[in-house]
Amino acid sequence: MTQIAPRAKTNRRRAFFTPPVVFALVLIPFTIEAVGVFYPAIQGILLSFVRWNGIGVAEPVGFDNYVRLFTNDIVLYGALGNTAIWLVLFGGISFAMGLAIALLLQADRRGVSVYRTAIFLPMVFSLVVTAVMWTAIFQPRGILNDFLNAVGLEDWTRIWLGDPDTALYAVIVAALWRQIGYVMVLFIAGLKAIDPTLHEAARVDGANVFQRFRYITMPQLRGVNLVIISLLVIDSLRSFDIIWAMTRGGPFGSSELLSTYMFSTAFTDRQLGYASAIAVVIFLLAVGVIISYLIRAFSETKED
Amino acid sequence: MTRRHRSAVVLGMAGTVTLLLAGCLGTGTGTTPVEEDAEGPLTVQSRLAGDSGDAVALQAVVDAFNAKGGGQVEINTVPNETFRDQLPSYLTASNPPDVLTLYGGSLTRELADEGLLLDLSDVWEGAEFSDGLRALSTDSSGNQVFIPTSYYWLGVYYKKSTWEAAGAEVPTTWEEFLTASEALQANGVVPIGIALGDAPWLASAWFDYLNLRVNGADFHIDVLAGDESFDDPRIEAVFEKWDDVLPYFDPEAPGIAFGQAATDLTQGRTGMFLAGSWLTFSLPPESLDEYDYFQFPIIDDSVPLAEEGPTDGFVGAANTDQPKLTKEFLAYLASAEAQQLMFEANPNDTLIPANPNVDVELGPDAIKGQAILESAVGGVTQFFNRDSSDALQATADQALTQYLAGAKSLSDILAEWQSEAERVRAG
Amino acid sequence: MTTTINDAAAPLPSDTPTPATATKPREGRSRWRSRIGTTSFHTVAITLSALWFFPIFLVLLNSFRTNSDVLRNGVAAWPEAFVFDSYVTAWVNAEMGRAMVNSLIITIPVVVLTLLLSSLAAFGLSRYRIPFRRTLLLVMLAGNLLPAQLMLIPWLKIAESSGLYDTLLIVILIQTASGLGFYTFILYGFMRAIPVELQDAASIDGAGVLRTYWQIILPLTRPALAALGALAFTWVFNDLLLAITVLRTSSQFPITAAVLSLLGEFSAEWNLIAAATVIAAIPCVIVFLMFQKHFVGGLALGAVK
Repeated sequence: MTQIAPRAKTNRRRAFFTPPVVFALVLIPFTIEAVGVFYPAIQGILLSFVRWNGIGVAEPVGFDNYVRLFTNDIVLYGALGNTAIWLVLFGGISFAMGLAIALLLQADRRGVSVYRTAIFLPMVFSLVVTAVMWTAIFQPRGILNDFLNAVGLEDWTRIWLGDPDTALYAVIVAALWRQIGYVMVLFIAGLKAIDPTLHEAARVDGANVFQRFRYITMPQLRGVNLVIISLLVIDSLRSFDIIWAMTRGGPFGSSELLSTYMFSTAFTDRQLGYASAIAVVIFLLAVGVIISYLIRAFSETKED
Repeated sequence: MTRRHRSAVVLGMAGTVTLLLAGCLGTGTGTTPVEEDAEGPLTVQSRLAGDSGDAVALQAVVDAFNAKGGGQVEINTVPNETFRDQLPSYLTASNPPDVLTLYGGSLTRELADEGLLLDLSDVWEGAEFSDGLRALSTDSSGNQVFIPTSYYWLGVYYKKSTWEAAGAEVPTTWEEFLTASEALQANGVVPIGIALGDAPWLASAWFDYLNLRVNGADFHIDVLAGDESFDDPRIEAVFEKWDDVLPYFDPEAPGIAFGQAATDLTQGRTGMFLAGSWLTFSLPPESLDEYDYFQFPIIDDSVPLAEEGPTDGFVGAANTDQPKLTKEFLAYLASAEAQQLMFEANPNDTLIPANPNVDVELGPDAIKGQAILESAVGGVTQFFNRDSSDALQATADQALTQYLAGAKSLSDILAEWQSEAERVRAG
Repeated sequence: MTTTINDAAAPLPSDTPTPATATKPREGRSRWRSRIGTTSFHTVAITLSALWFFPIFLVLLNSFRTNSDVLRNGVAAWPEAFVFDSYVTAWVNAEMGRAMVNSLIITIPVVVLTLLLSSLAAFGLSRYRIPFRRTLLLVMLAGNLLPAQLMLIPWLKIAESSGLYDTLLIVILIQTASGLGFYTFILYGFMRAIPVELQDAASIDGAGVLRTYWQIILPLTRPALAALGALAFTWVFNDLLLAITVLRTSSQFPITAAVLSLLGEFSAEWNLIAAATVIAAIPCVIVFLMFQKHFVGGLALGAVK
């Protein structure tokens, strides 16, 4: 990332000899994660092979839940579709706007910490209340529609959260509002790690701002981009609270994602085994998307 | 959603699963009888929000019990949503909370049938409750498991000034109801307010009452229990009646949040709102006398009058390590003395004490509510989700919001509702 | 972007030859451009921040209203009168003092432990040739791909069987374990970039593994650690689901659950909940402001030359 000149291939980044203590440094956290995450996860996955309502006895049903999920579940495919839309819009716009705002606010100049804080604040305020505010903004006679009427755009007014065509997108707006601050923070950290002499050298050579962005900033950010894209995929698949608070997946499943479907199956329908199966599907999806992306990314950068 | 498949048994997997889950899942079945109570205070797991009237009432009665010296009781309050989601884990824990707030209905019965609730039949032996309440508190094996402390009513709430301005009169029959709605609409008021945005279950209040009025309580209970089907012509008749008032419903309802709907009633944008007595908590407290409610209008005189009277109370955990003290406390809660204390500590005019021997002066709303409920010779039901399940409630939410939005034909909606209900019951 | 115009105000490289007469108009023009640059920067930034701040502004407004006011006029209305009562009532009713302490008892150790453990793991994985290191990293990350709801019941059972049910310790342990994969992955990304010359120089000087970690690599990862520290603090502080699953007694609840307790079954006093939310947000805002100072970078890397 901070290569000043093209590296000769033989110039390794890593020490040839790995001291034994390094293994401990890696294996201790790994073990902790194994106990605290992998072990419960396996138990959770096993739950997907039973039928259980939480209070009685669990009844093993083999792959029943999965068969039912893929052959007999109308909601699943709608939820998959919405999750895909969410992934693209929420993930894509978070990335683009997070980067744009980070570029804007990266320099440590006067007032910048106020601006950064303003963008980061949504993450810090409990969703219980901010969801209510967003719901109020989207009410039929709420702030957004009032504003549209005031500027002469009456045709654009909608029953935002009640209309199956707009509900998902309205929630995406609120979700982006929360997410972008965090993406911005990561991008700022990444931008700060770029050697400023690279930019200076390019400026001296006459590169304009767009050229510098394209040929210096973006390549230097490659490692950070990797991280952020992965995180956005994870977050998209895990997005739950904001949708649940604003629409519960409605109206008519138009804002139902896999995550909300899993939750309602577990706690409203009390079908914990089936909900676990949905959770496993979410997990496999996430693994599939991220791991394949990362494997490709790793091999591209010629990591040793 | 989905249909059940015939199960494909994977034997080795089933064995492994059972073994690995043996430590993972509690079965919550019957307890070995505990001879002596364990030490320590009794825990009441409460879902009543911190400063609400109900919570204050509970604190008052707990203080009184503690003062008596028989044992110490502590209240542990958790968020309402958390309580609902975690209830199974509370009851199946090896050291559960001893007493829990709960309500009468099918959930209590289901938990009792799983052996998770303490048998309170001996506490009920001396109890003075009505037969209806006794039936409500009894599980499938004939044991009482629930101590009712209060119940409330549902009505059509309205703001008096809005109606006066429109010249609308409080109706008692269906025809009068239509006339009043006409008058409101002619005066620029949206007659019927409802919040489908974040509270789609409000539509079930309409379904319940229309079904009770058109078909009677017995049929309603049968439908909820699955003994009758949702695509029955009698249900279609319910919606035909609903069609009469559909034009008067708020067209913005699908996107309106509950708080907004209450504000609409306050500001006179809407004319009426079918809800429980808890609606008054969302109306400005200093002007509550500007509001009143009327009984859901009678549609068919020949149908025995039935009403909804959701009942709240307490249960004991079967696995409690202090069964004696738990029963003492629950017996105290059942007594007229305790319920009087609770009532006096909770001045909201929204509840009626369950014990008939409580000597208090009810407020005007409660007097009316009590009269309405006592006149319900056809029966008293609890509310859609309390009589069936949260899962079935979700199917109702879906079907009824579709109906109100005019999204599909009625026969499609009812057919889908029935198949969803079957899926839920099978699962 | 505005960095160009910003930089235009910087002095020209001294080795660029310019005739003396030509310097003056050039400097004048760059000062003028820099003023437009600053103005446009602040205009854009202020507009953006104002838009972003608007819903929070609504929360603040609501925290200064009475419940009657909110019921009568809705949540998105200007206050009829500004009152401070909600803060006091919320603090008392939700027992926020104790809840805040619980939240801090959970969050601070988790953030410290997680950053420590994951930076050690990332260090090992990124700077040394451990076999299967990338597989290990991906497996650790995969641990974070599991939906939390899948894990709740197993976690509950672990809590019960370990005897730590209803204690803050189990929350700390599970939160720490859950974050490791994520943070290791992120720090790995940042640590990879550090040139190997620095490490080689250190080992030539006789520095062992841990010294290399502590004195060379860790300071260079400072922006990332600061960013992650702020984010981690926010995430753990705002966790609700795990807390309400493994904690039962209200005196153990963190502040997120305490705020949720203010919601009634059918009604809510939004002015109270807004006030409680504002109080709950304060620690995270403070942490964020503190950590912003450390979003500094680029300078140390120049030391390579």
